[in-house]
Amino acid sequence: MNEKLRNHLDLLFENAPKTRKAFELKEELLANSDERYNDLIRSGITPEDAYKNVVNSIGDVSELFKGLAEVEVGEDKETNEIIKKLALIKSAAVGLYIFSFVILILFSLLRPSYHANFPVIGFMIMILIDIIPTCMLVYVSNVYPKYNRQADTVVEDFKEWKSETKKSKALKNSITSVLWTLTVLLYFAISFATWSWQVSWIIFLVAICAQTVIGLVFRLKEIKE
Amino acid sequence: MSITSDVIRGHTETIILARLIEKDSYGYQINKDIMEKTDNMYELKEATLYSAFRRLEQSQLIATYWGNEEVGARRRYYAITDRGREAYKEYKHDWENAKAIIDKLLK
Repeated sequence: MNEKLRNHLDLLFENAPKTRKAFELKEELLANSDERYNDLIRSGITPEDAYKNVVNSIGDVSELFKGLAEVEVGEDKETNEIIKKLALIKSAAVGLYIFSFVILILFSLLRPSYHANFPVIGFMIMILIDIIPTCMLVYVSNVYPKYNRQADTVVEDFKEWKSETKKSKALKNSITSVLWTLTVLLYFAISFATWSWQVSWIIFLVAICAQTVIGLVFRLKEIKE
Repeated sequence: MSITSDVIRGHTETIILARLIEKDSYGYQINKDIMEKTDNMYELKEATLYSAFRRLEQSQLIATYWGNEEVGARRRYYAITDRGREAYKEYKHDWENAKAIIDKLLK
């Protein structure tokens, strides 16, 4: 009666999601039903009655289907909304950085007078403005939505792993862009303040070292996990 | 048998843990043991058994592995974890408390 049982289970699982978990559950149910059937036959029950008994003992499996994960292989609408919002915030942050930089340039064009050292004021204003986009970028990299598994398959496993690395990549990129923006700003600030352009470019070398260090830190974090 | 089956079904997970503490087992074997121990007065539907297995697995109270059968289809075995043993002690304790209280109230 293997075939009859197998067919019955195939029918039961018709509406189940097509995932590995579902397949394994069906296999488990089949193995157990099979053994039960054989035990009943051995104890003298007729094949017909044994089959009925086994079918009855399985019960209602549709409750279990929820745990076997959702079917639709589309993207989660809610997550997409959140991602769009985050992209908007990121663009706004970059815009603010550029804006603050322009402000600095404007102020630097004014000659420093005795009651107001314009370049320095410009620099300070720029730094103050930069607080906002920096906070925005930090917020974005922390709020990045965790990828919600659509189904428990190997593909989903990979997608989830990818989103994890995407998150740390996003963070790393945020930090890198902050680093370089600050470097450029510092370069101009120091250069205008000290007027020693022949030396101040060294700050870029320092920034390159800093970026390498950041890269290593993230690699270490990945290895630790 | 209505209240009885509801009450017992509420303790399905504890019953399964009790079986797994003795030894690793698989779905049908556990059900067979239950039927034997209760002189066929009680048995679980496979669906009930499996949803209990999923819950226990999610709470990390049991672990599962596929067996290597020489004969027949491969079986899914379950084993109790350390957390499971702890939980079992707690659940058993809870049941004994509940039993004592209800007995007192129904005198």
